[in-house]
Amino acid sequence: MRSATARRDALRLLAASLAMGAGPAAAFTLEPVEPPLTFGVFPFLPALEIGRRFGPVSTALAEMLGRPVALQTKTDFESFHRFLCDGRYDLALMHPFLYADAAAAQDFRLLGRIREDLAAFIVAGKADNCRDFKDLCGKVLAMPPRLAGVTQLAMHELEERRLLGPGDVRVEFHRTKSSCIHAVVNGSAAACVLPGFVLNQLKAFTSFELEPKFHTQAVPGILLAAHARLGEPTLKCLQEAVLTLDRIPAGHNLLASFGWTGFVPATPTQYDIAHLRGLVGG
Amino acid sequence: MLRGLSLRWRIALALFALQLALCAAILFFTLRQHLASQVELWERSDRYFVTLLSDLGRVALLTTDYTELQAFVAETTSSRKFTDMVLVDLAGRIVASKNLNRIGSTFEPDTSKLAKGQRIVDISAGSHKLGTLALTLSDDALHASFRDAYRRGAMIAAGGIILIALSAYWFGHLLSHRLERLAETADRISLGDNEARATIEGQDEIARVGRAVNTMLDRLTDNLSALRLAHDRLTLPTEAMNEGFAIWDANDRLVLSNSRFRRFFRDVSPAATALRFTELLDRHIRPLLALDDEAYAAWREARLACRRKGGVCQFHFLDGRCIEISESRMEDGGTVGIYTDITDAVARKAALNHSEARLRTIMGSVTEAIVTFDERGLIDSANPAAERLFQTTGLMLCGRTMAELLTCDDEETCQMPRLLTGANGQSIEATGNRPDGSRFPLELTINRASLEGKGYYIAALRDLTRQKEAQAVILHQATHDPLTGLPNRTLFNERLGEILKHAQRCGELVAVGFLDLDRFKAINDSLGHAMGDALLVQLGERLRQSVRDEDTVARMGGDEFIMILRGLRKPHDATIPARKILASLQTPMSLDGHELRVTASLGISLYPIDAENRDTLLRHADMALYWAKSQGRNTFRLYDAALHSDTAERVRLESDLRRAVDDAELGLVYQPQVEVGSGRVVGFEALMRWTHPERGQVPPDQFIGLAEDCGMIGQLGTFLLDRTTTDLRGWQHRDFVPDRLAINISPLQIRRGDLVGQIRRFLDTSRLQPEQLELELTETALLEADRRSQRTIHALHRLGVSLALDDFGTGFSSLSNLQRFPVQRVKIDRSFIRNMPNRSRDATLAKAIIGLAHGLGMRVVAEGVESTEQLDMLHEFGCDEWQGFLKSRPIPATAVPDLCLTAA
Repeated sequence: MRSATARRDALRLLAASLAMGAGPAAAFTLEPVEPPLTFGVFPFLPALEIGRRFGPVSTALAEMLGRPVALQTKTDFESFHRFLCDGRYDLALMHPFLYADAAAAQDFRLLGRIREDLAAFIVAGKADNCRDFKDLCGKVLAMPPRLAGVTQLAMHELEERRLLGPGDVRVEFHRTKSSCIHAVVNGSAAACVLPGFVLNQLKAFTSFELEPKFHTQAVPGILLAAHARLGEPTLKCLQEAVLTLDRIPAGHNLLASFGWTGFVPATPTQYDIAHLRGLVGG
Repeated sequence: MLRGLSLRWRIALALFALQLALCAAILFFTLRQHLASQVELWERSDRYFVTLLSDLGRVALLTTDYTELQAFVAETTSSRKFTDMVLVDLAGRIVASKNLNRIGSTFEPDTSKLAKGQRIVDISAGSHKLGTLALTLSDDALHASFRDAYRRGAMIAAGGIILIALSAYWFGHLLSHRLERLAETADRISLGDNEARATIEGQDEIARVGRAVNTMLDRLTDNLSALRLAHDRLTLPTEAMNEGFAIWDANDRLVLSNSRFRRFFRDVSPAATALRFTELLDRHIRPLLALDDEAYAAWREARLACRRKGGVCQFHFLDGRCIEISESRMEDGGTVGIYTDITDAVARKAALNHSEARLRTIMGSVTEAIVTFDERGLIDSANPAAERLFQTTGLMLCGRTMAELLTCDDEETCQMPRLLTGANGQSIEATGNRPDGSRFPLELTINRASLEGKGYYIAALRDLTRQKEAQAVILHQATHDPLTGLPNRTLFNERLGEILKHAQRCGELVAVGFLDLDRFKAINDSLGHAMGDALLVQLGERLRQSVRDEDTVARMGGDEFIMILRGLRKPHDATIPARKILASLQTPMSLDGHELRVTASLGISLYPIDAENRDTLLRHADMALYWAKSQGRNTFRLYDAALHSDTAERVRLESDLRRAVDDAELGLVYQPQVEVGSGRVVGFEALMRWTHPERGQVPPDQFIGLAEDCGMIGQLGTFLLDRTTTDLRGWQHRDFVPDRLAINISPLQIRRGDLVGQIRRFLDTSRLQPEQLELELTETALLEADRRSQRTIHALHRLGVSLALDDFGTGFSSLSNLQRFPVQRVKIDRSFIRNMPNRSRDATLAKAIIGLAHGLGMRVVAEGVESTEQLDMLHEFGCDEWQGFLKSRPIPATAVPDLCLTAA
């Protein structure tokens, strides 16, 4: 009986295929579509997580601009950096050191920055006696990828303090922040470098208590910038939307999920690379 | 119809019918379940497939990286799962497709015309749409799977029928053919054939029946034979026994006895089988006992009680024999008795007890711990000394093994085979384990003895705790510096040798660093040796903290430290600890409430770059240190072959200077000092000259600095005073005594040694009045003057000797020094005088110095006057005295009186 049903199904499918000609492509019709605004988010989370968190904000921006918004990111910092410097994003969320490169390569305009400054937190086991980078001499310090903001902060400070020589701090780079934390938990690293908004994840490790031991100097935080090609009216509209993002539900939820309190106006001098290095002791 | 068939065929047919029905039912239900599962799996697979493609599409749209999705599509192209797929982005552009030619073209999905298997899925992140996925799924593979299942079912059914038929026939045959054989055997037995036996193999019920029949026949035959043998088997062995043997029945009458039993009780007759046990006691045993009636009655009662309990008791006879009786009750109420002559054994045991008691006394009085053990290492005795050694009782030691008591560095040494091999009086060292877990070192000597053909071992144990502690202290003292606790030269050399061997094998880079405190002698002299020692202790600790754990810091003596830095990757790595060390010394040392800042110099050489053996490596590190010191101290230098020659040159010059003092290459010349107004020679400055046999005249600034660096300045000072004394005597013979004689004193001479005593002796020997002697000091000497130096300067002043400040104006020109120290004369440095006519600034400074000195009540001497213009200006400024080539070059001692006479 099942076989008969299967045969009938097969015949129906064959007839439908013949009727449709070349498959699903034949069912689509050509129609011009307005090009969407590309919104790049730097890969500080997995791509699907970025989609989940920034999707609602992208929808809200699209409604606000009356234009589709294509939310994009990358799986690694190097690709994102290349796309950013190639001007592939109309609107981009990035950390200060990425902005320094992007602003040098493209005409990006600052829309606003997160109110909270960015600092690299050094996290280790609760029982570990680690109060300064010097205490990590001869040990392994796990870090996120080289181009991550906190990595650059920590590396600047280590270089300035001449703690990258033999017998000093041994740095190992990991693909994600989670693998940095795991490196500390499984003992392959003595400590790891993390941004402030990840610290609440440490509670998940109940069998191995972790805590932030100290942090680097802080620099102005994560920022949103838009390409000047969008035109002044769009840039103005976007800046207004960014600075009031915490007032719309999607924006409020996004900021709250990272423990951020909102975007504030920012100036290019705050993100000048010399200024940033000066802040971290360079 | 079945009734006509044999049992075999009836069983076969019944089994065939039953199995066929069962297999058909199983096949039917299995196939139906399989098909239902296939459909469910296929539908679930569809859902997973769409979800997977959606997730891949979501990531691809987010990252604009379609490589992974396209690769997945390419990999699954051969699959019949889907026939087409396109991924469309937010701009309506196809960004990924099974057909690569369609990528880049634009599409819009028409959901109203979807055919069977077609899916249109929105790809979104949260509520935000990212793009669209369109795909066509096919179920051809599912139908093919159905057909395959039916075909296999048919094949299984056919094979099953054949197997069932064969197995049914074989089973019928298996059951019936042995029953037939058993029936045949039963027929033969019934005909009287007692030898007939059923031969049926197997373990089942039929085989058991066959074997039971055979067993019954066998037992009947055997029982008859057994009865015949039983009597013979009982009596013959008892005669062969060494012991007496008797069996008594339930009425205590003798049933059976052997000849030895009868010999024990002499007159018991072999035929006395009805002898009662009480009769045996009263008639046969009583005469052998020396007991009166009463005693015998008690004895008899005790003996009967012993017998009732079935135990062991002994009879001691008048003739000295001792018989042990061991009796036990039988089930029928009778008694079996074994009677053994133990006369010899009793005697031996008594002797043994005596011997053991004596041995225990000896062992107890021995101070050395002794344990005995067998070939398995099982301890069977331990003397009190051993109990004290292991802090336990002998009972606790007995039964333990030697391996439990001992631990050796080499684990195998403490294993029994090795211990037994060494049981020839050789001593070994091991660790003793006490029951409380504590351990102690001991010396173990094992000897083998043979007792009753068995190996027996005696171990003498000696506690080495105190000896080891003493050795450890001696070893530490021999290899460590008692002041700082750091390794000393011996241990350093040993470690360096080992590290270089390891480095040679592994291709490692090793650095050796010599460290020397700058001006430690001055610190030691000024603050005392106790503070100097405390400083070295703190320095040692800082050095230890500045290097890694695997590195070595050793003290070679004095303020010399040396380090081994191993495992370096490149030569530059050696500079990191060097910098750390110098940086650590920037923090002042806290010594007994004082804060003291010290600096150090460090020379480093590298293995194998600078040298490949220990001595050369150390020599090169020493050279690098020498160079660091000559470069101004408070620094470090790596050995450089190019610098080797410079350093070697300096070392050669130093060696020549040492020789020069002995070989009379040093000499004195005298520079006259002239009063400005009168032109009268008022004194001479003694100047030292070195005429090198090969180099000629060596400039004073070159060899004086060298002498200060290498600690020879005191020697040169002594030479200067001795030679001046000789010259003064020569002048006195010619009735000439200078009004004033000036000699130069180095800062080091002030700081070190007994300068006041030296000057006092000089004055005594030369017969010069104190006021005729002037000591010239530099500004540096005053600036660096510590308390001791200050005391020396004031003591010299109290002696009546005048003090002049040499080279004034070139240093700090500290006014406070002029005020603080009893200086009578200031000497303006020649650098001001040289340019005075041309540079008004120098003239102004010279004038200011003259005014200042006069204001403080001091006289002024100008050095290096070479022209009349200079002299005229000095005259104008009010300068008191001058010296220089304008008057005379420095002249030898013999020319001094002539110069004065000519001038007069």
